[in-house]
Amino acid sequence: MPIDLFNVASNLIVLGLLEGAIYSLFALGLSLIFGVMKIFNIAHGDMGILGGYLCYWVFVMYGIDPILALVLVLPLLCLIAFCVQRFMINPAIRDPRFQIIASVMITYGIALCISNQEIIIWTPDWRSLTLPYSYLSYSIFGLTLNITRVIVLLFTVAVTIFLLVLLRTKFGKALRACTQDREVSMLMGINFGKLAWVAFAIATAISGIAGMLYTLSHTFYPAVGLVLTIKSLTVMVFGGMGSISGAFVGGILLGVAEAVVAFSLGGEYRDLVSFLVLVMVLLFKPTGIFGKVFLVPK
Amino acid sequence: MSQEKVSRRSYVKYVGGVVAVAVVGAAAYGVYEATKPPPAKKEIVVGCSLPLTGVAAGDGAKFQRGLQTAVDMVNEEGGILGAKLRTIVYDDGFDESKIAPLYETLITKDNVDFLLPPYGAPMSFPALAVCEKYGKFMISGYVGAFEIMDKFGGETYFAATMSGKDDTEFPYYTTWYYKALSDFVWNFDKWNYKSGFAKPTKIAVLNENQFWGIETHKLWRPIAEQQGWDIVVDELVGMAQMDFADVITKIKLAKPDLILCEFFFFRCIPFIKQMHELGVTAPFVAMSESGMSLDWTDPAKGVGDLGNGIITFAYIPSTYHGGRVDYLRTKIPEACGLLEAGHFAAIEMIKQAVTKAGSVDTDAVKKALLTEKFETCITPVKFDDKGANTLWKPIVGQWINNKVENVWPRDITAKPIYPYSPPM
Repeated sequence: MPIDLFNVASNLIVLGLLEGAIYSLFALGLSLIFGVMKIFNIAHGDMGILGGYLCYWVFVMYGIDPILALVLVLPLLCLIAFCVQRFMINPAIRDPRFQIIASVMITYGIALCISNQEIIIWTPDWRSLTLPYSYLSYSIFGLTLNITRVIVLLFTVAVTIFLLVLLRTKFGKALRACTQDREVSMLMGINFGKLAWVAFAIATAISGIAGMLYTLSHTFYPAVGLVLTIKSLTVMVFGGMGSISGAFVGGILLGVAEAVVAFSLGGEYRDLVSFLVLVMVLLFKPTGIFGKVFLVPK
Repeated sequence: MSQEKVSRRSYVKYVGGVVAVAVVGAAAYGVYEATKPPPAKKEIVVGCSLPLTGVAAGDGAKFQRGLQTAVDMVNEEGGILGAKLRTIVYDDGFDESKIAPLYETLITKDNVDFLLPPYGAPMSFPALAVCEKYGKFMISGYVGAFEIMDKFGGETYFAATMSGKDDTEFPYYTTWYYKALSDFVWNFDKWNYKSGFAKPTKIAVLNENQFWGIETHKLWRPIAEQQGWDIVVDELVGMAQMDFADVITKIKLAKPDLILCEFFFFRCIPFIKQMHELGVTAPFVAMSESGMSLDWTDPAKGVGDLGNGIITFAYIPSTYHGGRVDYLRTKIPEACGLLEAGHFAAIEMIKQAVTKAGSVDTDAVKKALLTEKFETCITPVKFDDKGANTLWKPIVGQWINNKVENVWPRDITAKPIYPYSPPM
């Protein structure tokens, strides 16, 4: 059967772009946390999916569109983030020698708690959001664009721009200073504790938005959070740890790579792409596409 | 008073006599202990693993619910031979690597009396290998694949929804419920379908890359050749795959007339939804396991109206009232397929087999399984010497207005078959 190569390629690129947008969005939050606090938040994907479940719940109970439900859900997520960071993560990472390993272990435990609570509250059944516009698609030059996927892409672009602008504000400059050298920043009068909490809250809010958008465009279940965290970690390493533009570009590129490989070799090779990318980046360009070298705190 | 002297010889005779009596007495007691009937069991323990977390947790929870419903029913009615039924269910997270250790634990530490399979043929294979090692067996109301039956059937595995090899009706190797689905596909000219659609000439075949998926994957090509069909998409989907954009893109480009898709129930849902997101459809779509649960028609948990017109299998016909299916439907209204009914049927078989055997002894129960007939919520059961059910008569259905209508074989139903017509 002859294949129209242009048609195939363009469909794959668009598919990959739209799927990669969700990876970028998750990775943006993870990059922000790592950049400021130098910790790996394994619960990042689960916090996002928790946001998704909460928006789903608001929709099911009150009929409020999940995008609008973010107004109610995001403050709650930020409160949860505050409690998690203040009472669980901070005590675990006091000793800078074990900061990274301690952060991985404590956040993994938090991830398990969140996903199991989701099983208890919402059951392990697959869920999906069927909204009036869920299956609205537009065909442009032979490409099918589903509206919910386009919404994801638009949100991703908006959040990326927001973060890039934020980094140029006074607060953003303080964030960047802490990313470069925490001790000197504190000596210069920056309140790192407060800054870290705000950054964690912003990152959690971004992951909540990503989680809501994920539930808008995918069927979801409690265990998917960890899968998304691993994808975000890959994108973060690929794009450059702590780099906002890297997270955006890395996610898109990963999405396109997965779409091409899955089409060519089979869907079961899709996840292989993430791990291959991770290995190749760590071997040949450990700083990632846009990453910079940073010093591990002593 | 005079003291009697006992000679040495008399002393030896005396002691020897006491020892001989003691030995004979001990031997007699040993024989008595060995031959006396065992004390009545107070409880019978059934064990299995299920995916209670992970990607298949939704399906696992349905299995568990059906299992617990059956156990509660049996205990309410006095148990089995006066013994209460208890279950031990471990979470395998749908991870094949966890299966063997869990079943080792069930057998060697928990000392369960009976075992049920985990979810799906790929998980069941390692579990059966462990059972075989310890001389135990498994009863299944759901799982099957010919590779499993060839290796374990009749000795270690008894499957109610597994029919035997049939070389007379089909010259090709068919697997459990595909006996009906392949018959249905083979005889397209006899379909009672609504006019307006030509006979399919292009088909897309999607299977999972595991035991029965590979078996059915091999099945369709010879059938397609015989029918003069062109297989335009032929994919084996990975066990971890949950995103189907790549294969749906291929379907979109190939424009098949018939999509034959055989996935686990939890995978059917994202597949149908993604098809709609990408604006892809076909005149006829068969998803064999979509009939596993009425949650299929729930827009929150399944696909809602998008499932209307899907041809399916793995369901219990609404016209069937055998075994305790009416009890099951009362307790679990959404039970229409093998997810909720699979382990329920297995418990029905255990109860009947143990009652007929008069004990939980492995050999006695196995003998009962091979010689007696059983009634279950899914099907009447009569096992052959390979552990397959000679009374299994699978039929094909189609989702019409949120319920499954029987559409095949023609000798049991005259219902028409409709094209796939979801809201677009």
